[in-house]
Amino acid sequence: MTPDARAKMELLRGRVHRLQALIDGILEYSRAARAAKDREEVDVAALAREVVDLLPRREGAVVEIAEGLPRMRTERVPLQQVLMNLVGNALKHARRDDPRVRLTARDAGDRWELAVDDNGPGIAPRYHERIWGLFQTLEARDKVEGTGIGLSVVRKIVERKGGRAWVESAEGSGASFRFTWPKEEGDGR
Amino acid sequence: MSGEMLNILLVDDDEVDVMNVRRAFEKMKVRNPVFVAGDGVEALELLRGGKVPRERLLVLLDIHMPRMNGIELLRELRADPDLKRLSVVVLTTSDEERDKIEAYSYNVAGYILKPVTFAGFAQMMAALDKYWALVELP
Repeated sequence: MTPDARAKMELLRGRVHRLQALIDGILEYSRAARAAKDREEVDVAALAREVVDLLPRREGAVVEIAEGLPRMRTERVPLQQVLMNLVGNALKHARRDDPRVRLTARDAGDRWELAVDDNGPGIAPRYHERIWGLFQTLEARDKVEGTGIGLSVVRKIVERKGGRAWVESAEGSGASFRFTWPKEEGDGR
Repeated sequence: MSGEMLNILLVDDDEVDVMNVRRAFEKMKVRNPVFVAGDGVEALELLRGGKVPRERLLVLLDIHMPRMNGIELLRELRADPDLKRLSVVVLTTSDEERDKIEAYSYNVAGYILKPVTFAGFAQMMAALDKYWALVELP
């Protein structure tokens, strides 16, 4: 194959993968609206460790799971999805060889406030709302592969639980993605 | 057509789309360099930094982009006394009515759906060429 043909093949391959990721993402997004399934006892620290194992391994990356993460009776899959997307994003957008991601929890009365902090490039405040939009990315997909669906899924799931998802960050100093999750789930949710 | 005298700023984040437009220009023997910006923020930097000539400049604008999308860029352009007269043609996969209406409300010269056909593109360029000829009459 000539170098040119090879480059085009690579491009094509990349696009097929992107298409696959988009289909998966849209499916995930539509599922995020589904009615609640069975609740079970979830150990958030154990769930987070599973999430880390499921994500593609990155040399030099450390994901720290803090002490004191709660156990709660909740739907397991949506919480896993939220953690997966947030931790995955933190690793993917780190722009450094030694990404550090830290998961913590804070008791906020009738809910837990969970935070995924990273040491990445940070996000300028003017983009803090934009990033939650469907298909919205801050970097061209050709530079950092992504569908722009992950955070929309996070917000949709969290809001269905009556919670809130937001980011605290300044450009150049890491980001802290936070969301609240109810301690007790009513049957209506 | 006097394509030789045209300056193009292509605002698009997708390398395949950039490739397609370059090919279209080659076919049409437009030899001017095509300036490329990856999103609205980059386009504004190029335009305001004087890195792109503003005479006979055609902006080809995608809608869905990182950081600042096409509609937001249009809003910025039309609010800037130095840039508000730029000719902009939207080049997008978005067939959404809302995007079209918004784009036209910012006075775009055309709205072309991707994938771009050479015929459609050539037609639009010919129309613009006429428009410029009229505008530049002494």
